[in-house]
Amino acid sequence: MGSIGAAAASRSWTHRFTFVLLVAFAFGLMLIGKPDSVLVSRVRMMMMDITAPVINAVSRPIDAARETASDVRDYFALKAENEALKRQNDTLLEWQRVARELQAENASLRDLLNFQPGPKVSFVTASVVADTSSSFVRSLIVLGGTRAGVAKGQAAVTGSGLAGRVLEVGERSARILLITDINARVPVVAERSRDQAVLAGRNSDLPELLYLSRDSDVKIGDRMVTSGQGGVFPAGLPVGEVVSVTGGHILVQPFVDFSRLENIRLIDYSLPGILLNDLGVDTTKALSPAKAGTITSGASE
Amino acid sequence: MIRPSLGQQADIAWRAALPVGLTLLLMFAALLSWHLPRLGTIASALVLISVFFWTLHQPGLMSMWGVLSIGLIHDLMTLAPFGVGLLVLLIVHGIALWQRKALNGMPFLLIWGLFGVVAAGATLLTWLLVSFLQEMLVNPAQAFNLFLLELVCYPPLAYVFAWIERRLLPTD
Repeated sequence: MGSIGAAAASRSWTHRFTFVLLVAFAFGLMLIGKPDSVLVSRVRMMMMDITAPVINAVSRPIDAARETASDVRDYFALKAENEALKRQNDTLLEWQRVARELQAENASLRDLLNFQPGPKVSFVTASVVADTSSSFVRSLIVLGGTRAGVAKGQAAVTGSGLAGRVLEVGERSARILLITDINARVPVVAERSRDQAVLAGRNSDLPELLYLSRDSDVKIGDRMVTSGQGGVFPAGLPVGEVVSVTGGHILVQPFVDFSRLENIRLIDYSLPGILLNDLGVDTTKALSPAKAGTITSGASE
Repeated sequence: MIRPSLGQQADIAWRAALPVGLTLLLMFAALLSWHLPRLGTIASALVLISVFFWTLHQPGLMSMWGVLSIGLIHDLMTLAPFGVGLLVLLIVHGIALWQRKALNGMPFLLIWGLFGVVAAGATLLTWLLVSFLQEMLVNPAQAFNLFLLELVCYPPLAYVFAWIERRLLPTD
């Protein structure tokens, strides 16, 4: 009986010792995960590559059910929408005529100025398979990796505007760091007043404008677009609208609705700036001119 | 002694893997792109609740190795500062294991109350560690939202888990 009791006590001590070791291991991971994020990033990419196709397969029936429900709702709205679209189409055709005229005029003026065109933009459209946002992180996983031509640092945009940038890339999947994440910094400019600032994520729905000059004239309703500084995003991408100016804090409502993202366009603008680190990088800091990402597939605009 | 057949062994194995498997399944289900606003925090909340519940009720099937694998996969999938989720889950597992005998047979409200205290501590610790590793104070409102979500989700999830435990798992 005594030996059984001793064995149980020994097992209990071994268990406690192992538990303490595991807690120390978790502490160790926190420490190595911080400075050596390349290693953690690689393991994360492998994990994403394994799980993203599975998550995508599982989410298909959910998407199908949602689409069916949406189709039924849409059916009733179709007639009114059709009328509106016909009117819009007439307007757009008129705009197309104007655009063609301007295009021809632009071409002739460029000819006169001996204008050097910038690099061509290429893109990959990828579907969002997982929303890995939490209280402390804002990110998504998309189905599209190096095989499809996705590269780290590419801008992630939707029809509404800038959503984020590619943070990690695996072979078949990539992780997008959203502009609402606490690590995201986007150099922006107010469309009306031309005041420059940095849009900083706060892990909430409304990122904040930082480093505005004291005499800036930013007001509620002002549209913010990328300024192109830092060489990560090109100038002029729509980002969001100022919704609150209180006590020196200026909050911006992004144009992109992050909760309803289904597809995202990953664009390579072939800009000279690159991102130095995975996280915590201030993209407004001077970035070394280096190689731009190379797209192997995708259409050109 | 009669050796169990292959079918019996498989049956025992899947039941033994149920708490850890269910936790991972819930986490991945929460990570699916549901296109619903503010759903992001739910994966972390579900994982914490599941680890606490199963450690309390089936400690043999939610071992520290199970918590280790759940914590690692959670941290890899969610882009949280690496190791933070694992550390917090291990501590929650340790507390649940330590309080297990004292809570045995106690009314549900008391267990829920203890979970509230553990969840508050776990969320506070996560917030502090994330702020420390990010070198900036993370919005405390987000941490508070996570805590509220954990508190509110505990009763319905505990009810479902208890049903699964009664139906599918051997008594401890």
